[in-house]
Amino acid sequence: MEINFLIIITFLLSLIVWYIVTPLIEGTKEIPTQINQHELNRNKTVLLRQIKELEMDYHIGNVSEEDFNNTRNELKNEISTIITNIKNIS
Amino acid sequence: MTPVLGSISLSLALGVAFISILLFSLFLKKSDYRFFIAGWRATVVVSALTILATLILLYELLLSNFDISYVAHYTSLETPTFYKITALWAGQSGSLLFWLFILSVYTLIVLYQYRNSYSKLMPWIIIVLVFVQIFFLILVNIVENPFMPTDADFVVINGNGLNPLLQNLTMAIHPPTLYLGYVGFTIPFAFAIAALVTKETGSVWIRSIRRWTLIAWLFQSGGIILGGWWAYQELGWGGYWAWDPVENASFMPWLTGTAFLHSIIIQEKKGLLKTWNMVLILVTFTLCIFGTFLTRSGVMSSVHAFAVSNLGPIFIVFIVIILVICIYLIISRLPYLKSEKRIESFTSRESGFLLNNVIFITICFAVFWGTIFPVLSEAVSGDKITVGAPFFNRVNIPIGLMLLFFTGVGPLLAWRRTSKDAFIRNFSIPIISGIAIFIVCLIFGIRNTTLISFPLTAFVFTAILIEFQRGINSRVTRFDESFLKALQTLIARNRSRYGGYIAHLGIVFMFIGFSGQAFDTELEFALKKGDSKIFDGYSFELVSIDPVERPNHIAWIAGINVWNLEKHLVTTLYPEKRVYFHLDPNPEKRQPHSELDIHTTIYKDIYSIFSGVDIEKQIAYLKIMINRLVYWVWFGGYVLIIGTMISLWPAKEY
Amino acid sequence: MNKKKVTIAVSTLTLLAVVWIGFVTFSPNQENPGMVRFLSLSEIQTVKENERIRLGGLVYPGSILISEKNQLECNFRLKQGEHSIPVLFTGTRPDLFKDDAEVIVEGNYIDGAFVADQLQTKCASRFEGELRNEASYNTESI
Repeated sequence: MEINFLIIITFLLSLIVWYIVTPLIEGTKEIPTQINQHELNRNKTVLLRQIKELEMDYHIGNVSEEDFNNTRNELKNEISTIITNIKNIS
Repeated sequence: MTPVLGSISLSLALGVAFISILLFSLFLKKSDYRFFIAGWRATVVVSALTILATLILLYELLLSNFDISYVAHYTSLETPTFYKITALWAGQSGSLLFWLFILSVYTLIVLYQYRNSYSKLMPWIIIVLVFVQIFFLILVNIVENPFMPTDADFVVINGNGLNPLLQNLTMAIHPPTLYLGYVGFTIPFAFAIAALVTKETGSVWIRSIRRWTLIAWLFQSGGIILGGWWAYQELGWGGYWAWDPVENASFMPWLTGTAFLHSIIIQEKKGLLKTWNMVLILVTFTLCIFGTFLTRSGVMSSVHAFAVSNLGPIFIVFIVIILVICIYLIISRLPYLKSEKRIESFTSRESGFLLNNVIFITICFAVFWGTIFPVLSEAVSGDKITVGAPFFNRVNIPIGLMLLFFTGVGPLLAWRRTSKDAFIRNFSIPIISGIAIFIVCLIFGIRNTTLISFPLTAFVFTAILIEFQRGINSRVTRFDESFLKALQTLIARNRSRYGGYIAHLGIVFMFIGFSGQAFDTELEFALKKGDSKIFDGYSFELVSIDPVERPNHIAWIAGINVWNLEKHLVTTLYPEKRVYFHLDPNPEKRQPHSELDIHTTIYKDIYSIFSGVDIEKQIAYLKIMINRLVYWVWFGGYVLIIGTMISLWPAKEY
Repeated sequence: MNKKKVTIAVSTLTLLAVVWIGFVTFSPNQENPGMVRFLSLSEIQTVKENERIRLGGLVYPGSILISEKNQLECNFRLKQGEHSIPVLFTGTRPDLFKDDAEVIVEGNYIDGAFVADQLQTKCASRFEGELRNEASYNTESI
């Protein structure tokens, strides 16, 4: 019983150590590019959704025409910055 | 052997948690991505070990291993298997472990959700999550270890068993639901801190946490509603909310959480209220911890009174640490929290949101004030004062009605400013319907608060319908869709918005239910078998008193025929008087319990309690309550939950 | 509309809210105050006329007397250290009300006796209490 128990604990411990330490040995120092891209894409979809919501608010009459155009342009600018960033990365 | 493994996992988890913090600090210092990955993995390990420990405790509960003190205290051999599982959160140390378990599950979800992406916020988010984990790990490792062996000098053959009041399906789901809510707010909190630290206080973090906040809010609402439902079904005082300190503790973060949920919309759309949002989420999280503390420390006497413990000081220290860090961060980041725009008119939706926030915070403060007033007054004047429901009702009813009113007004306001035309167009029908209901109430002779609340509910209800109608109209004219199709696509394509409006509808229904209280009546009386008693439009006839023996209790069941005045049988109620542990030779250990019976319709509940019995004389002592419109509270609750779920449902990307 | 106006509006509202909460706290409704003093028995002489108060203590063993005519009426003595006081309570008694139970009563103090309209018992001792020895229960029944 005692022996088995010790074996289990040792096994568990070494598993944990191995799991945590491997990336320190094998990994790279730099942040992989495709990972940055993911984040940018996520932001892009959020912004696109925001434009959709804005359009809908405009059609219902909750946003004046002037506001609508301004905000939409702002959002579009933000999106184009992101798209340039994505291009720069890849 | 396995319990030792549980203990070891918890200690290991604590150790690895520190390592994970260390790895992240190395990453931040050297910006070597390898440390990030290692830290990420260490966090996975911490969470996995905690989950493992919880599963081990669960396993021991199911096995009824009474060598573990916790198992012996909260279960017995007679406890049904299902309630052996729920015993996991019945006691102090178990529930702390359970808190940690939920946090670990949430943490794993966050880790995996963002495993392929990296943002500046990420390391800080994880650090905050691990920091909270460390706090609870310290609690379960050092202060309240759930794996503590039984310290009796005899062999425990059977445990104490779970309180029969807790052996109820609702009670089984209520605490974990509430916990999912409490713990859930940790995630938006972590994002907020990360945003403050990295100075990325723009709209990115706000957008990423809307979902998490909604999830936490959904569980918090569900937990509170279930708690009320349980109290109503089980406790036998005829109500669902008593303003008890523990109830208040769960209500306060809900209020600030709701305020937060609304005010992030305005930051997302307009870049306003950035500082305010930070304050709100920090307060909400602190209140969640405070709530866990109030529930678990026994510092306030309440129906929820659990054993008094030594947790108090540790929780206070933790809360103070959080507050100090948060306040420092907010103050030092004030320049980054400047609004991009400003509020331009009182009739704008922006000011609607602002007002909504002020009202929520006022209610929260009133509740907080009433909850800690006894402590304050004892410290200041030495008088022990208890604050009861009448205080809270009196303070909150007017504010609550105002909140209801603005629930109707807010969504119909336009951004920046609402033109006079739009005002008349949007509000004429709701105002007319409000006035119409007011007149109807007057005619029916209603003279209490419902004279205000009923017209208000009508006003808000129509206002929400108009909001839907405006959306549908815009689709019908733009896309030439049929009415039903337009409604369907409207909700499907704008889930978060229209789900929100459906949740508003739920609130309106709940207010109808709250209003009904003004008409409640009750009577306590003794009834001999065969006799009947007339009360509030019904005749109650006692038909039978039957003894029954069930596996873990005995019961007397009263059969009561309820007749209306036209001599039609409305229903037969069977409230029970039970005695649990009736086989225990020590009469002190036997526990009586009244199981009530309720006849529910959408107009009223007939609520019956069997409070005492005289078997020789065949007399039953009964309490009957006629509770008006209670059904609407639960119905509103369903609508609220469904609305929130619609909001949460992942939208298709177009 | 400038920032100042918004600040003024919000501060006014906040002030109103604080005043309202303060008002409700310090001018309680006489019939149903919601805020009552929680006294110990030695302080009971300080009760003002018609003041609702709360008392806490143990049920004096053997003192529970249930009225023959109406089982809802019950007399008992509330014990707090050396002091004790007779209590009259009418209504449904909580399930855990019995000798030595820890109870809280709310009501009025009238001529040396306490007339309670609320009676609460503290949590079941069984479930947070000491573990039981084998001898303390019937093993046959398990």
